Amino acid sequence: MRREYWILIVVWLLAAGLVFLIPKNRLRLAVSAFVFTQAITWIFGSLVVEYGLITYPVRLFHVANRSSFTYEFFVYPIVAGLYNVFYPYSFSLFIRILYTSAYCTVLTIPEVFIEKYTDLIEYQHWTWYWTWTSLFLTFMLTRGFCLWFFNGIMKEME
Amino acid sequence: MSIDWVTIVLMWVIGMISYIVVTQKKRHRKVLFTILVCQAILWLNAFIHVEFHLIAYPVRELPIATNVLFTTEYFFYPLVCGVYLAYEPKRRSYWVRLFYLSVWISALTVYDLILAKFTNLIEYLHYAWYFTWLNYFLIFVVTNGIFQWFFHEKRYFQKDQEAAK
Repeated sequence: MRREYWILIVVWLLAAGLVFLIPKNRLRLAVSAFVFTQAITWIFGSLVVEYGLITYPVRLFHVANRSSFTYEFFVYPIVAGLYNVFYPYSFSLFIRILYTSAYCTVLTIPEVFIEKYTDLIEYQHWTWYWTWTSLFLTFMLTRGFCLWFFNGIMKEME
Repeated sequence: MSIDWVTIVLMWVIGMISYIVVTQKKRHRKVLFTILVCQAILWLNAFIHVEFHLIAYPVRELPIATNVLFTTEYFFYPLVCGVYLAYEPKRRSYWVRLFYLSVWISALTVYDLILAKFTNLIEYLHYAWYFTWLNYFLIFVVTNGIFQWFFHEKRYFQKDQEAAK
């Protein structure tokens, strides 16, 4: 089996392991963030491929799509779930920006290495700081969604 | 503009209008949650169908990025599921709810067949209408189950709400 598929297996297992970090009483928050992130990554991940900015030579569902199912369907939504569950809402703006930046950096660094040394990702017209910035914006967007969702949900449940 | 693109545009327009107008304001979050859950399932579902050459989508919005039709899988069918669930008679017996679901699934299957027959949006390669019916039936049931789990008790939301401040 190619090295790339081993990496995919490890990535799936690692991401699945992250699920256990989610506290049970905040599972609903994680699930909302998870499905909302999927809605974003599916469309934007596809647009990025459609316009030739990134290619994914080795991927799952090789026939059905040309973007990264692993990352867009599972890994990034899981991380976004964690991000929202542990968001330091009571801390200062500086800490919150630092928190978001840390998540972006932790996701960007492995991607750069994977891009460089494997066939899983190839940047065509893309650079690491685009990855970083788009992650930052997406994280903020999921956070905004969760705020909106949970602040109004009680009224809808009556 | 060909009939395919007219259909795509119509689905977006009608879908948007029904989300804004038909959905009561106090249900927006619940409907949106249903859409997102159903969308995630349909994503996997569509990929499997295309990967194994059961269904093809010859005309689609992002032909390079994916072989799946976005309008139905990303937007329209999840929305149908959202409206179905919003108006489900939840307090009635299982038989009534089953009947209600079957009516929705049958309508959806007929619609899917119309798309397959009269447009190039969907093409059944190794598929039949009863697979469509069964497939959507299961997807809607699973979505319904997740929805019930998510919303079944108010007090479970406390911690989530605190974390989302």
